[in-house]
Amino acid sequence: MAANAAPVTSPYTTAVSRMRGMGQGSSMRLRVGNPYREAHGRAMRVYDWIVPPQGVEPGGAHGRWAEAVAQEMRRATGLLLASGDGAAHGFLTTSLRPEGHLYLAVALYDAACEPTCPHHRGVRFVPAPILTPTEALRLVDVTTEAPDFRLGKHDGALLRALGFRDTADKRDGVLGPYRHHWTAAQLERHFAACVASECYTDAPLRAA
Amino acid sequence: MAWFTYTALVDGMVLTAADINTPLSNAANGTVTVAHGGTGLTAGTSGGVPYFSGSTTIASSGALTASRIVLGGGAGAAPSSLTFGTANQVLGMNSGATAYEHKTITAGSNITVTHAANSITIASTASFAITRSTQDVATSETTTSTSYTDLATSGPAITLSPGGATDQILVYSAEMSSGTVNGQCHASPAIAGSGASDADMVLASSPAAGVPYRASAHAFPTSVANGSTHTLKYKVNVGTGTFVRRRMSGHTLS
Repeated sequence: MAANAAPVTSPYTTAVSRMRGMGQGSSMRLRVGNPYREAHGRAMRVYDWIVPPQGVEPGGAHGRWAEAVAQEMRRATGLLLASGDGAAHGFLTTSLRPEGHLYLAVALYDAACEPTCPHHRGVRFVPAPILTPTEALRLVDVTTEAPDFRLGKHDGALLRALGFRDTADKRDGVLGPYRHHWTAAQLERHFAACVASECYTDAPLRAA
Repeated sequence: MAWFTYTALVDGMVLTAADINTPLSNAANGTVTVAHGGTGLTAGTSGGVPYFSGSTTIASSGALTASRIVLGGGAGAAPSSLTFGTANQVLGMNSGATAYEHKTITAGSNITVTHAANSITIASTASFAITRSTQDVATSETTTSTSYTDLATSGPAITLSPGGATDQILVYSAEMSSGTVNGQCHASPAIAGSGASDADMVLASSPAAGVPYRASAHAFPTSVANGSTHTLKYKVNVGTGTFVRRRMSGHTLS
């Protein structure tokens, strides 16, 4: 992975998470699967967290903020999350909540796919490298994390408080499944297992 | 051969009884050939019918079965009886239009077939209803995915349950903007759980970054299974796409 070399310059982002500096750590959520039902139907690694209000408006301003975040994440981690040069390690999705918070998810591909694939003509899907926890947290550093809305044990309630709703058939990409609320120790073991096996499963990890 | 023998008469001839009785006897007790307007038959099969087995020959067919339709046998052949089918079949033509065959009326999905004396009743068991549904997602959400995917809030998604398979019309729209000049935002429905297709997509291309367009399209899926769900999916061709005020409406047509 590329080093976290460049400072964040986007007007919509903050350089370093203040809460990180306060020693509170991050509780970004990691899910393994295809919660957004992407067209290939393959499992991906999906990191998501809640960003404090950025003062962006629906439509253009929100889009420009998300575009800037994708570029900053590329500078911070080397991950290609917004195509433009014919390749992508994954994609970024965001949601502007009614009171200004932003839900953000980074979905990383585990499988390669050629640019001739009819699902994404002209763009090569490149398997994203295994992120260490430190590398994963660089993604959070780009945007910071809302201290009052850390996804963790009670993330269902937190997401509902931000206006997300379960749908009748439980297909909502944000709220389901809750299984992967992992501690730092569990994440470390998960990453180690990923490196060893070069594959992922949707099975919950055993308790430490 | 002649059907009776006779004595040629000449002038002055004296007729005897035999000259008259013999011909009359033959006429009463012999056969008349086809050539003389007869059948040439002295017996036939009970329950059969006479038929021309040749241009000058009449023969008796075998016994024709009671209550059955008689089928011609063709040149030189005897007619025959059509066999019965099984109960509640109907008589029709085979695919080659060369023979009759017995056909079974089979009830398809949501259909019943009831046979009774002098009638066959075909009825629907489905209680089809014209149904409609609309869902909106107002939230501003983005994706950088170049393949169709849900946004953070999936949908809009609608489910139509008219009671059986129907043709449907789906109308969908979204306000879309790209963060890249001339970047394209696409929205397309995953119809009845199938993959979203570019053939059905709504497309907006921003001439300048962040310029929004609201676009709409429709799809006309046919024979959609009852209870199928249709979900709008999204992708971009480059950069980041923003999607606001997404809507899908659906209506059954039959």
